[in-house]
Amino acid sequence: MSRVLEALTFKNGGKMSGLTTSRRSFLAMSAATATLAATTSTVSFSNWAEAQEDTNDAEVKISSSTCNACSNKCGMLVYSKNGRLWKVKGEELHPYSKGTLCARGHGYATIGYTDGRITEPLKRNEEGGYDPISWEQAYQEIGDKVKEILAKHGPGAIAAMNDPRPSGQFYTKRFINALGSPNYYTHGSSCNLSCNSAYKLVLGGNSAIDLANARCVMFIGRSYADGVRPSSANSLAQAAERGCHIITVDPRFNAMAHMADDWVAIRPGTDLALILGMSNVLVRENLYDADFIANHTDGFEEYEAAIRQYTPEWASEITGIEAERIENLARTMASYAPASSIELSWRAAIGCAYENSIQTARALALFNALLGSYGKKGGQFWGLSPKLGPLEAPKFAELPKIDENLKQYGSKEFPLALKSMGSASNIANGALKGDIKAVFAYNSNPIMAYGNHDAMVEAYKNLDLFVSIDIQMSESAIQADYVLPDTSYIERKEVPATVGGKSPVVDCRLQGIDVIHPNTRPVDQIYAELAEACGIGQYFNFTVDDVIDAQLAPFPNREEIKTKGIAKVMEGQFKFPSDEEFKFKTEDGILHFADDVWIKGGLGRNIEWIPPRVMPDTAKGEFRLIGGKQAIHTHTSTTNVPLLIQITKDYDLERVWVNKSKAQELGIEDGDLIEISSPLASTQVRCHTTERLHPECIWNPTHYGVKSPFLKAGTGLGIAAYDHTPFEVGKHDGALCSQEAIVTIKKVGA
Amino acid sequence: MARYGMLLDTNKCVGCYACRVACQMQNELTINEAYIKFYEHEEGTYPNVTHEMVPVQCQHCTDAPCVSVCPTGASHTREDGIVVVDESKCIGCKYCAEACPYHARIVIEETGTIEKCIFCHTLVEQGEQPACVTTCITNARVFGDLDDPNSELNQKIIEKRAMPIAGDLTKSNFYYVR
Amino acid sequence: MMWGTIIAWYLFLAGLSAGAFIASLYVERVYPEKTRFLFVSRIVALIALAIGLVVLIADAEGALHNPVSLFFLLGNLSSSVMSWGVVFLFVLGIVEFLFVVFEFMRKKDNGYTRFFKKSHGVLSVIGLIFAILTAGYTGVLIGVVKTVPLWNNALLPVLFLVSALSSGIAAAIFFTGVTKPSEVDGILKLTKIHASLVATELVLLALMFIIVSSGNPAGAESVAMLLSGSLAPLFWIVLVLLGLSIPLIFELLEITGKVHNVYAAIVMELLVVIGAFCLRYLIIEAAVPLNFLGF
Repeated sequence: MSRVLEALTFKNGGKMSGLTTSRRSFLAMSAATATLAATTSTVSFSNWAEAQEDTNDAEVKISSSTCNACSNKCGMLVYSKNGRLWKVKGEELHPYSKGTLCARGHGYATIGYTDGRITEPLKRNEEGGYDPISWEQAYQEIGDKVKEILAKHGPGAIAAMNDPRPSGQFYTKRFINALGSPNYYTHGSSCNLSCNSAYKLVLGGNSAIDLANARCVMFIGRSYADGVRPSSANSLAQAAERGCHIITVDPRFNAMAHMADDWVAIRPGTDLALILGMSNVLVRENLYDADFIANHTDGFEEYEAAIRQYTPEWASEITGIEAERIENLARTMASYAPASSIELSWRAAIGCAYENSIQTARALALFNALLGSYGKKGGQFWGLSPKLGPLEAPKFAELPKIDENLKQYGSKEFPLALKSMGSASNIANGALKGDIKAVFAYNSNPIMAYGNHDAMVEAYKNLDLFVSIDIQMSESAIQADYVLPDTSYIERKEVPATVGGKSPVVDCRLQGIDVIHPNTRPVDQIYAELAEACGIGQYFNFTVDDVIDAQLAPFPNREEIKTKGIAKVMEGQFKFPSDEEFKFKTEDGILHFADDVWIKGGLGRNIEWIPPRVMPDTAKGEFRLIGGKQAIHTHTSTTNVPLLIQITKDYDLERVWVNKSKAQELGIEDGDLIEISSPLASTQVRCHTTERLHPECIWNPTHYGVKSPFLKAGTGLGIAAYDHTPFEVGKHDGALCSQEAIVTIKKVGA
Repeated sequence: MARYGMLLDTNKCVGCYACRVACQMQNELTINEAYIKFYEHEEGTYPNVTHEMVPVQCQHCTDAPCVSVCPTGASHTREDGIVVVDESKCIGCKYCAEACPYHARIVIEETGTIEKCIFCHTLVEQGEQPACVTTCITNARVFGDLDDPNSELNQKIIEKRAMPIAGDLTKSNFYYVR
Repeated sequence: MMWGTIIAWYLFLAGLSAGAFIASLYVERVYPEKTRFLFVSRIVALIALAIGLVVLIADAEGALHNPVSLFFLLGNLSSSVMSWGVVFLFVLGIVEFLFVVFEFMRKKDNGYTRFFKKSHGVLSVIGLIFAILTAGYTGVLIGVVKTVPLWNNALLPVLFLVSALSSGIAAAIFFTGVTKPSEVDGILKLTKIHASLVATELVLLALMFIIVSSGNPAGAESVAMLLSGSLAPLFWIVLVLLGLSIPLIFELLEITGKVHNVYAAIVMELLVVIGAFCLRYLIIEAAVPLNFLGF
């Protein structure tokens, strides 16, 4: 095994990430790969595919679970033969699948069989390789380290993050809280932190769009066909068929835009100006719902005054959309009110993309109020929210009270950020500053997904302890001190989850296939044993079954949920509230157009225009690099699934989009290899020239640019999402600001 | 006996590829073997554009050229109109693959024989729908009996004026709404 | 499109076999003293057929995995041109085999030679019919493929039939001439027939291209590929110039008595054979499937 010194394994403009004597350098990747190969069992994806042939006469077992490919967690049925996965099918009862499944639902079910699985606990060694160790040793060493950090720095120095799933969410939260730390994070900073924070402040919490009855819908950057939730895509298709007026505001003619009546190709980053311009029109032309405003809001006079300057002409300058068109958009939406609204969305343009995203979401929430669409059929509604049963002592020991002076890390700096999510991206800043000493990442790839890769690697080097609990050797796992191998989701049972809405359900993942790699352990077991080693085992003296029993107790049909894995609850209870009954979810039930709370976050009491952090100088040939999703992938976690990445390969889906006219100007043709340059990096990728994109930006599907040598299936395809995005979280909310990135492009060889 | 057919509404299709993967897993294909192929195009000039995704699989033609050219009779039409391949008789000469104007047939690596969409007839026989129909997230696909005037399929064909994709190139039993 | 060069070889060899066999029947009638010609041409015919069949089976991946499937090859005689081909090749092969066995026993007098001489007439007729059927089959096989306008027209099977006869005659002359040049001196009647076949081929090519270009756009694309695109050098230089025009000119000069050079004549026939393979190869390579999508 040769020990090869490599400064940087991945082409990134040759920028050296400052080799230090830290243990986390990229030394000896070849040695590491060899070590890992030796510990990987013989079960591989090709084995799974071959084994299919031998099981034709085997009895088929059907089991219930929910998909793990994204946080929708669509209900699904798992079909297996002889304990091995055959296929999956969407669950009828689940509100997000309604019997269907997207490509990820099918493909991701095979994740357990992929190469790149972690099969033993691993410890990073001095040379940067990985030594397989026993579970006992892993727990012992991690536990000792945690106790040391608790003693020296206190619980505030430890953080845990996860992309929420039923058991993962439950155990991660309980674990970190049991340690006395408030530092629980979701993936929100790279998804929906900006918008959800705004909605919490304005509305008291996210509402949902009633597409089944809507007469007019506007989507801002959001595409149900790219950031897929199957039932939403279906509702949209039906709405379009029914004649609902659909407007898509997006620099890109996305995968659902052909169903829309109107594509508004907006200059990226200026959605706030559009909303302000439309709001201005509604106010000055008296097209707003005065009764609704009077009954359910306050501060409208201040708002009216504030919005006066944001004329359609003003908005036109900024957005690139004609003033008359902005007027028509506003009037059209008003004409369909109250069954008319802007969809609240996640990620897309306002979840985490720009420094002004939180303000954009704020303006959006207020705009919907002008239309009077909240609580109305066809507008925005709050569905039913089933409550799981409580976990009571003595079986579930009461968690220690967290010191009230100890706040979630980042909450002081970013008071507007939604606390239930927090900013996971900001943890990197904490590591750099020395405030955070330990990070536990479950079902989470912070190094790759929560910020510029190299910046994240640098930051995480400062940690005393980084533990990755994952199923594959992601870019984060290869940076971690300890890697603990999880089973895949269909290899285990999990705690219940609820899905609210008009037809709520409670579901509970059941085990669908035999455990594939014998030395992997399910998340619940890992956390319980970790807790023991960290001295908080007393808070984990229960099994998953105990949690299930306790949480399902309130439901009369709990046996059905337990055995069938899913059941409807609160049937027939949903109805739209009358005007008297309606209340916002804010503390006082009122929507405040003007609010001092925003001042703490560096924004005004009243809504106002703030530009994105950066704007491309088009005269200098600059483009904004915007990103988006594809229906076949989720973030950075699916490129190693052969069934899914093969689609990318067959249809060249990793290509970066460039506006055709712009490309022609630069002498670039469809399929050419182009070089994308920024102060941070220089990357190369093939491009797709198209008429479906605003000329001031280039669009990158954000799933590619794999940087872990263990994720071979997608290696060499496309470019990573944030190689050109400087790591600087949004100053108002701590979100990722994924699209505050300016680049230039040229043809390679030109 | 039934005469099975399918309808696909490209106005609803969002090109999510779910049908491709669902089909591969149902039929236990390798990652390189896909019964459904995808063709997409955009028309117009920015910002006045449109886009269409057209998934294509075996059309189960009544006058299937693949059946008439097959030397061994491996490629044959069932009583219910579904065109299938009898693996034991297939010599892998690929005449059928050449003859199919929709390029719907593929070679299976392991056996050297030819396969294509079989309308999931094992599922259909159990009263279920083909995998691509079940999984379609926008319900863009409808499957049913073309010989049953009351079937949802026939109703949709009439309602949407659905037509085979290539006119009368073959007597295709796969209808498109475009 | 899934068919590759192997199919070109198969069609070429099957056609050549048929043509060489028919050439041998003609020479037997008109120049019965040229027994060397008969010997060589019949062996060439049989070997070409045998190689063609081996090449075909090698491409039938299903049969390689599961040889039992081959037993079903006559399973669709009602409509499959390939099934017909199996019959044609089978009968032709047997007839050619019987002739070749006789050729080895020509100087002997035994039970077989007596049987053969008695049934010579019948066997010749059967052989002639099935050779023509085989030669035609090489074109009809791809001609019924609606997917490819370049193939799916009335002229292509005729072209391939003519090419099969022409390449067979040329192969017979070439291989005979290589073993005994004097044997192919003074076969002007055959040369005349051959020249008219080559001339016909040129005319058919031109006609086919005109008709196909004016039809489906995919057909026009195929023709453009051949005339001015990626396949143009092969088409013009190897097929039209070397494979057809130069041999035709030489044969006309031979027929009109202006030239008499047996060695050159032998080389000309080799060019025709190469040109005939080139024709099959080009027609397979230039296949552009029709656009069923409308975009």
